[in-house]
This record gives sequence, C-alpha cells and structure tokens, in this order.
Amino acid sequence: MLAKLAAANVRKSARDFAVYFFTLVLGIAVFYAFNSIAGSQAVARIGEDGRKMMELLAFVINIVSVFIAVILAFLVIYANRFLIRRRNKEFALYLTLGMQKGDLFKVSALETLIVGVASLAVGLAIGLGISQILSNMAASMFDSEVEGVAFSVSGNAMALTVAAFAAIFLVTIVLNTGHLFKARLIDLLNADRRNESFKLRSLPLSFVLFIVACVIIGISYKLLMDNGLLEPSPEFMAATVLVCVGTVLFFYSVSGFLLRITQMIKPLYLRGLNMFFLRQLSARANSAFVSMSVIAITLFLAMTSVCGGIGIVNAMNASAANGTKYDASVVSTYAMMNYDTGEVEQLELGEFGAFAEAHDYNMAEGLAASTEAVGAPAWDNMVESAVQIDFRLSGITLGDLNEATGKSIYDFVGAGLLSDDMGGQQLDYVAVSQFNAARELAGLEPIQLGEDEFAIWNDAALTSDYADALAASRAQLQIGGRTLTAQPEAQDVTLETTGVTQRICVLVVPDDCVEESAPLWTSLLDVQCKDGQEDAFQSFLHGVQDSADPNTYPVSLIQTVSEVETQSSGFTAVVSYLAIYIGFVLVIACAAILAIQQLTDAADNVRRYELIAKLGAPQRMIDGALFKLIGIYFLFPLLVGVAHTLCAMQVVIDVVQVFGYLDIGTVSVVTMVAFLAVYGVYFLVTYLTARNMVKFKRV
Amino acid sequence: MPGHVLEVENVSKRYGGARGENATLALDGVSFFVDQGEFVGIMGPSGSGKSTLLNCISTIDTLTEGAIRIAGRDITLLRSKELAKFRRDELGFVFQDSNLLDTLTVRENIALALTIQRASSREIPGRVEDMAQRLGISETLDKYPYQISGGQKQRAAAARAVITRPSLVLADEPTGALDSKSSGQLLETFELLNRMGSTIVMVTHDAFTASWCHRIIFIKDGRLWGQLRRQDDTREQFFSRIVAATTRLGGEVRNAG
Repeated sequence: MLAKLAAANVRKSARDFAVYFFTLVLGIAVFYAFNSIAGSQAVARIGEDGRKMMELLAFVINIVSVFIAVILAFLVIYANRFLIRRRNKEFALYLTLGMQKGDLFKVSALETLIVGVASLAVGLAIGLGISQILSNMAASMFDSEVEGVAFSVSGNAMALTVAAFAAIFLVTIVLNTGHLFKARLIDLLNADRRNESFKLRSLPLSFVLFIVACVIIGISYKLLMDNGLLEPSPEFMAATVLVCVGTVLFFYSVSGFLLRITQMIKPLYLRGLNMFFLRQLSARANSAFVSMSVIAITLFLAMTSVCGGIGIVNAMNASAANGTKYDASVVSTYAMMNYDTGEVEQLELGEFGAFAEAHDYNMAEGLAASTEAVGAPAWDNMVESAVQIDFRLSGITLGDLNEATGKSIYDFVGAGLLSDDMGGQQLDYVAVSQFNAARELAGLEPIQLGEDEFAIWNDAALTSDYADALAASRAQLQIGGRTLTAQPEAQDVTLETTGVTQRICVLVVPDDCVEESAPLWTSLLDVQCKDGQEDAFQSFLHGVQDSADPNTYPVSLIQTVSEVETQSSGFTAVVSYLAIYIGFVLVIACAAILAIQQLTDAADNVRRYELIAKLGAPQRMIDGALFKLIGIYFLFPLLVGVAHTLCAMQVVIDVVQVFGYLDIGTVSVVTMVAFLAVYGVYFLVTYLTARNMVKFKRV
Repeated sequence: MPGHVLEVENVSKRYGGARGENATLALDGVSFFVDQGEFVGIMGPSGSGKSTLLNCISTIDTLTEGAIRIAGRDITLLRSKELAKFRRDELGFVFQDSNLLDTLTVRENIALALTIQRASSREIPGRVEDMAQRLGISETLDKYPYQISGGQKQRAAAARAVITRPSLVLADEPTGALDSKSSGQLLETFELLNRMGSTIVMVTHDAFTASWCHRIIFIKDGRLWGQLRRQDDTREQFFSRIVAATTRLGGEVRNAG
C-alpha cells in the first residue's frame, strides 16, 4: 500500500522531480564513466609504458572521485530539500488523515529509493556509453593503431558508483526523516503561506555599487595581466581578492542597476511585464547574490582549468611532435652557470669527467667506448649516424643584448615568468657547422651564414617573440674578436629529441669565431639508430646513465622518441581527463543549484503570477517574463565567468608558453560546447518546469 | 439608452461528472442583468454559489450550461487566449486581500494594469497620477504596499481595477479584511467610481457593505432567491431592509471569510 502511494507520488510529481532526476543521472553517468576508464578493454590494448600512465590516471581519478562524490552528495541533498519543501502540505494531509509518522518515513524513503534506482539504471546506461567514448579516446592517444572500438563494462567502477550513490541516498533518507520528524503539523499545513519579507535596497546606491564593482573587476584584470600567474606576488593576491570582491559586488548590485537603468527608459519600463520581472529580480537579489557569485567563480575555475589544462598538454604535444626528429638525444653537462655570481662552475664528475676528457669531450666516441662496460652491442651495430652540438658560453649577457638593441626580454615575456635578474645570464653559442650537421641529420637544408653574420636560434615559445625582435633589429655583437650582425630571421627549429622545447636565443656563429677557450658547459648528441635498434639503444643509454663503472661517459639526460611520445600522451590523458571530469561536475553543480533556486522561487511566486494572469496578462507575456527572469539568473553568472576566463587565459597563455605554443585545441572547444549544452539543458528544464508551476489554471 | 453590460442567462454549474448521480449543482439556472452604471451587490450564505457565480463572470471558471454576456460578448464562446485579452480590456478586479504585488510601488501596481494592456508609455504616468488624485491616494504612490494601511491598499487596488476603463468591475468581498472606518472609505471610493461611470458587481456577505449598492441580488442553494432595490431609501433604511431579507433568507448567514 505504502509502495503504491510512493510510486504514485513519484509519477504525479514527475515534473518536479525532473531537475533532481536529471542531476542524478548526469552525476552517476560521469562518475561511472571516469572511474571505468582504467579497467576498460580499449585501454588494456595499450602498450606497457602507456598502461603505467593509465594506472596513474586511474589512481588520480579515484582520489578525485572522493572529492567529486562529496560535491555530488551536497548537490543531491540540496535538490532533495527543494522537493521535500514543495510537498510539506501533502505530508500534512497524510498526517491529518491519521497516517503514522513512521509510515510517512517509509513513504518518503520508498520514493527516494524509486528515484534512486531509476536514476542509477539510466545513469549507468548513459555512463556506459560515455565510458566507451572516453576509453577508446584514451587508447587512441597512446596508440593510433588500435583497431575498431572495444566495448567493455567495468564491474569495479559499477560497484564504486552504486556504493557511492547508495551512500548518498542513505544520507538523503536520514535527512528527510529528520525533517519530517522535527516538523509540526501546523508548520507543514501553513508552509506555503509563509510570508517572504523583502528587504528593498536603495536604487541609486545599487547604481553606484555596480559601477564600483565593474571598476574593481577592471583593476583586478589589469593587476593580473601586469603581474602574471607564476609567482605568488602580492599583486596576484590582490587581483584574486579584488576579483572575488568585485564579483560579489557585481551580483549584489546588478539587479538594482538594471532596474534603475530601465526605469530611466520609460517606454521600455512601462511595457508589458518588464516592470514586474525587474522588480522580481531585484527583490530576490538579496538571497541570490551570494550563490550567483559563487557560481560565476566556480564556472570560471571550471572553464579555466579545462582550457588551461588542455592548452598545456596540447602545447607539450606540439613540442613533442617538433622534438621527435631523431631517434634519441643525449645531453652531457660539464658545468653550470651560477646565476648569483655570474661565474661558471665545473661540475664534480670525478672519474667520469676524466673519461670524457680522455675522449676529448667527443660524445659519440666516448659512448662507443662505453658499450663494453654495460654489456651492450657495439656502437656501430646500433647507430646509423650521430651529430654533436657543443654549447659554449659566449660571454654576452642578456643585459649586453639589451644595451646593443634597446630591446629588453622583459617586454616580450609574460609577467612573472622570468626572474628579475636575468640580465647577467650569458647566451650560448654554437658553431654553424655543427648546427647544419644536426639539421642535415634531421633531413633539413643547411642554413647559409655569411662571414660577418650570426643567426639567433630559439625554439622556446616563451622567448620566440623576443628572438624575432632581436633578429629583426639586426643586432651587432662582438664574438671571437669579430663584429657580427644578426641575420634578420631567427631560427626556430628544434634540433633534439625532447618533450619540452627550451633553447633560448642561442647564437649560431661562423666556425672560426668559436674560441676553444670559451667554456664548454654542455653538449648534445643527436642520434639516428639503425632500423630496429631503437630499443637496444635506449637500454644501452640507460645502462650508461646508471652505471658506476668509471669507463662510461657522463650522461645527464636521455630522451628517446618512444619515451617522449608516451610521456606526452600519458600526460595529455591525465590532465585532459582530470580537467574535464572536475570541470563537468562543477558545471553540473552550478547549473543544478541555479535550477533548484529558480524552481523554489517560482514555487514561492505562484500567487504573483496567478494575480498577473487574472489581471489579463496573456500566457505568452507571462512566459516571456519568466523566461527573461530565469535567463538572467543563468546568463549573468555565465557571462561573468566567461569574462574572468578570457582575462585569465591571457595570463595562462604566458604560462603555457613555458611548455610550447598555445593551442587551446579542439578538445577544449568540444568540452566547452558540452559544458554549455549541459548548462543550456538545465536552463530549459528549469524554464519548462517553472512555467508549468506558474501556469494559470482555470479553476 | 444604456444597454445591459452584464447578462447572466440561465447559468448552471455542475461539479463532479457530466450527468452522474453524484453531481453537485453549484448554480442552477441563474439569470439576471446588470445595466451600465449600476452598482450591484450579490449576497448569499456560505455555499450559496455566489463565489462560483463571480468566478464564472470573471472568466476564471467555466459554466456547465447557459450563457454570460459582458458588453455584448458571450464569454463562454471565447477561446482561452481571447479570455486573457478579454479580462485585460473588459474586466477590473478587486479582491478581498488587495493582492498588490509587494515588490512594486503603488504607482507601479496601478500602472501594471496599463502596461499589460500595452498602453502608450507616454500616457501611463499621467493616467496613474490622475486616478490616484481622484481616489485620494496620491501621497502613497511611491510607497510599497507594506508601508501603507489596508484601506489604502484596497483603494490602490480599486484604482488598478478601473484605470483600464473596463466595462465591468468585479469586487470579491473587498471589505472583508478591513476595519469599519477603512471599509467606509473604500465604499465611498466605489461610490465615486460608480458616479464616474464604472459598473460594479460586488460579492459580499456583509449587510453594511451591501447597503452602498443600488440593488442586491440574493442567492441561495445555487438559485436566485430574490432581489432588493434601494430606490429612494437612505443607506440606513436600505441597510435595515437588507438585514431583514438576510434574516428571512434562513438566518443561516454565517460570518464566513
């Protein structure tokens, strides 16, 4: 009997349940989909290196899921409170009819159970679909050769999802029981007669506050753009505080501002229900401004993390694509620049250093002589050809360049990304013959360099504008006793295997300008392997690096194509999936809270809409006012969030340049569109539900 | 010669099934006319059907049988879209609790009836001022409903009801929530509006309130029970006749809200 009543109740108030159900389904679907990635068939086909990355991804997602579950729990409880409030009167009726409170608990628990089971079923079904897309996407990130689409169901993720949501429903039932237990019959009966009191604010004050809010937000944007993100400077703190204060003030005053502005335009104000809906808006602002501010900031964080996160991985992927011209690159470093003193300090390499010196710092020769010590095949069996580039300190500092050209590196690089004392840093120089040899090894044409010329070689995105400006200024420098003039075009080629492009303004000079006395601080060896020898060469290199045998060459960094590719795609997967997962849940949370607030409002305002209908306002006019009202509540936090995001992205672009060139990429565009779609659907569901609530029914 | 503004012709309202045995007749063949410029009261005990009748006239409820014509148009033939337009242009409402929107000032509350009509924004402020002045509520125009007295609220509601120059003003227990002094002021306002040309139909159970009308229509058990005309009586005399009639009506008039 109680079950029948509960089922009938759910069916009867299906429209009220719509937002609640929709939120549950989305939450469950996303929760399952992300937790199931690691266990999927598609991912199981990924190679070993990639699988490690996927294990990391699964681990991180599991941890994040705890946090996500908490957000979803709050959301479900919040949504459920709305439903319960709507039905106080119904519960009162049951009690008046003599139903025991215990039975009431049972009805309420059964309803939660019915909605819970239904949403789990639908949510898991949708989650299965999303999961297939995500895991096949992940698989193709690691290995483009995965054929076909693998379908799989992850029992673990399923169990986790059911457990998490069962817990959430249990908490909901307990809270509902608490609510019903505390409620007195008289309060339930009079629930919808509760008078809301409106605290009205001075309109001129709102007007001024709104302008102040815009100015504060403007100042915070300026502070952020001038000072950047990386260093935790007081300006950054100030920008953060100001943007929050500005946002809150904005939502505190925006409704009053809109009202005041419209009042000044009589034909607009005295038209249809404009007056009514603007007054409604400003009356609700007192209770709504905090949540709207929080939602705007949350949307901002969600969008920035998705765009920024995906931007960073895309930049890294682009660098990686650039940095895979050779099968492997080896770097040996013999000295380090001490930035404080401006002195070059030799590293303590001990016997390894002696071994390097004995081989005259010729890396290919030294490494070839190391094969025996680590039990690797002979060098010539593995290596097709190799080119070495020696980086020597030119004695020319960035400060000198600034003096010679009048161009400062600080004007070209985003604020906060460089330390303040870069002026003393010396530039590297390399011989053009080595530079061209490396180009040829990569299948590129050599560059032509005149007797009195040097080229600026820069592959770091961060400083590319600066390098172009230097080249264009035809800077003149004293190198090796000659005055050399910069070629007007900077070289931006990456001549090593690497995931992160990092050569900053290296000077490429004629061979006879290279002085043996200039300190050689690091050398780079680019290697093309014989076919099929890549893996053997990779393990040889790691053997050398790990070896304690003094008869091996000192190696400080090894990067092979397969390592770079696996790293970059693994990193892509981890960062993009996390950003999308968190971002999606945040967007759902924001939209659901907005939706529930608007529905609560609509429920509270039924009498007002009824009066307006009695006064003869056509249904279309009333629907229009409701549409505008709810539209503003959804649109403004989104607009402010987008504005904040656009500003923040200006700075994020600078940060991303540390990793390479920014490309927000299709993934983030698709993600944003998906976010907007979810947000839009919430808006529509809210509007339609609210419209149905306030619809004037002839008795 | 002014015609009938309101014609109620053989109106029946049945609840619960079209011809089922359990059907209840709320109205049973009620007929009467209201002429232009009249001020008519409808009285009857609780459950007599007077509220149902008013709801039917105000197009908020539907009839089972019969016809209601307002300004010559049969409202039972209007489609629901036309009904809203009809209420907007032809009817004015005053409810028991003033039903002013508490988020709007009095001025805006009165103007709302005109903006819904999409009246020209240039003429709205003038018309509102003018009406407020006539009803003596000019000084309350920029206040919010919670800042003014119940009587002032009801007069503002009356101003809202007549500002669109409707054919018919419908008042449902307008003095129900007022003390006697405010009731008197409101009824004087009604009298003033009536002299200015408004046709008013007012439902009340209170003889004092009813004594302001020109004519009282009594309803009992869904049927017309009789009517009283004031003719040349003073209000006091008319009041006595009304009290006598309601006593005869069965003495069942309860003080129902």
